[in-house]
Amino acid sequence: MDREGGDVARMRIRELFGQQSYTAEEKAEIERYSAAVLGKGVRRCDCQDRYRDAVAEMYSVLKRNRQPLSDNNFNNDVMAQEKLYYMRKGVVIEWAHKYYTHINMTDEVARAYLAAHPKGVRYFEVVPASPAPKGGKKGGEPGPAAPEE
Amino acid sequence: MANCDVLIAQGIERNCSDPYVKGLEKLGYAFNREEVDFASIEFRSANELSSLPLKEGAKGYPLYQAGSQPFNGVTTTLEEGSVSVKANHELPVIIPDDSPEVSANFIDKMMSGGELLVVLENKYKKLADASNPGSSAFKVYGYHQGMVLSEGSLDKYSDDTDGGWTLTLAENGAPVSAMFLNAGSYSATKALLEATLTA
Repeated sequence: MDREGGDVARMRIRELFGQQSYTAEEKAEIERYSAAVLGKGVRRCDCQDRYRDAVAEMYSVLKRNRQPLSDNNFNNDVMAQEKLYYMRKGVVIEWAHKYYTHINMTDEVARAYLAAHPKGVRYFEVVPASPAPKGGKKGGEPGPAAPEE
Repeated sequence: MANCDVLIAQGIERNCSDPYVKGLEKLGYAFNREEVDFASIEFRSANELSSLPLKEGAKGYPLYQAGSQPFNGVTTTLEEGSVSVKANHELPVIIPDDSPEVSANFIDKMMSGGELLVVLENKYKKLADASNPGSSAFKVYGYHQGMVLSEGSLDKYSDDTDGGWTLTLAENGAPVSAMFLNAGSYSATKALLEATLTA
């Protein structure tokens, strides 16, 4: 997604976040944005809220990247900072005396953790196709969900 | 051992340093059982899960019970079968609501055969156990058979439900007396569960 496209997407996601229901066209749009922002499609289930959940997750990801969706920073290229590593829900990793879940895991921590604990990749839903570990921090601790490697 | 070890390996003694207390905390966690990634679950011990991985896109739902005795009526009974004794769990849930949303999204799904896995937080958490702190805090119901709707009612003038619904979820025939979720510490398990509530 190029810079201009990213700006449009950010504005649109904010609009969609404020809606309670979506048309068929909007659902198709959410599918496209989900693939671009989250690297995955909208969940496949007969759940009423799946599109709303996808929009909320995208909105949360953009906010988490410290690029709030306010009018005065639409020019920041948030899409370019899209996360590469996503933890699975229902697991927790302890690293450098902090707990990480899918909510607060960052690419930097994920790289360091996986460099030290390659088998911990099972706690991730999405990792880059060819992860290039860098900054593998020494002295971190494997998480309680990953006691044995 | 192919035929299973049936020798007890622990005595029953009074715990003076971390006295047992009754009751449950107000917030529980409900998961659609078919959205739990059982193939990826890891065990800390026979009756302890160390993680509760969900399938992609799935999330947990809060099960909040107000009042001074939340989840009052949660019981486990052991029942003799022809081969072995099985555990039956019963979990009453009060829903102080009567709305199209709660009917369509929760009650009707359960009426149609929905199966849940529910995690409740005990007031007794075993935090003083140096070797496995917090191991008693979070108990899993429905791991083996799923919690299904066994009965329910709506009494518009009930003081117990503020005129709302009361449902009873049940798991029958579980092969073990209890399952716990323990990600290594109370804080880790709490963080794991709270994170599942966010999409």
